[in-house]
Amino acid sequence: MRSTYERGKSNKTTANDVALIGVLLAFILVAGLLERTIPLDFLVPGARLGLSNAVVLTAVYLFRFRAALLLTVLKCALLSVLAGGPSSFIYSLSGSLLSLAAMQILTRVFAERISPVGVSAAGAACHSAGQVLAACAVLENIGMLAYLPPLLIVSLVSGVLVGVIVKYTVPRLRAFKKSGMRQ
Amino acid sequence: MKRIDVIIVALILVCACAAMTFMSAGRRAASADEATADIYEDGVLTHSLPLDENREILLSTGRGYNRVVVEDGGIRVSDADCRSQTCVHSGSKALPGDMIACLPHRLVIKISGGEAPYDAITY
Repeated sequence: MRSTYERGKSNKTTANDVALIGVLLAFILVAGLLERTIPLDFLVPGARLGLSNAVVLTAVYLFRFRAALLLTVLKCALLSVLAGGPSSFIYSLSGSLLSLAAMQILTRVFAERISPVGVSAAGAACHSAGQVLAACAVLENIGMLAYLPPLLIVSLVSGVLVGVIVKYTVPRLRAFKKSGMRQ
Repeated sequence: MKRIDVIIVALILVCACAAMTFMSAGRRAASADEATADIYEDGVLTHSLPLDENREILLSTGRGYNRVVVEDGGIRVSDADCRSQTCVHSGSKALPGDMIACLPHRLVIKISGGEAPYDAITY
């Protein structure tokens, strides 16, 4: 029996895959722009919902690493152009790449023993850590680390919520992905 | 939720809470008297403002401006031309160890007390 969260093993990229990746990228951009209008700065400066991470995690489950990496880099580049400005690129890229690496490794190492909730929580924590470390480097101020613990608490909550979303999107999108292979 | 999920969530929570407790302990020990706001641009200390003296200064870096206001023993960024506005939303800060950062302009405002708020930060 094929389990729900097994990662895609097929090496073929179908037309459905290409369409799905395009839709996911569009959704990432909308989610990224939307969450910029909901600043959580009153909790911790720089905190965000992390909705676009739901899409990246979905891609980690559905596609090979290459596709998830492509989505992540395009997300950072396009969101910087559309909303963040050049300085936000380095923070969002370092956070996103660290987060993607953690989620990729966890899904591969633990496979069936971990659910999207745990993967997402770890990814969110790594995203925060990556951003704060980038801020330390750019501002040449190690004191920026003081932002990390409260940011971790907020990202834990949003990470778990994102994980619950992904738990429901992956089986549905996998059904769509499979429907393209029949033809 | 599976067992590893719970372990991951618990691990993050414990680390974050331990670090926060450690930091707030250091903050309580510091004296809020004679607090000054140290302003760093690009990692270089450019201003050191005593918090008991009201004033307003306009910081212009090559990347944009931040209007900084010292009043009622606290410091805040009242206005900035960055897109994120995180520094403006940070509000007024008065306690040693508190910080306001403007990432787009590479500006950090850090409050230091009579003594260092904590000797070191380790994680």
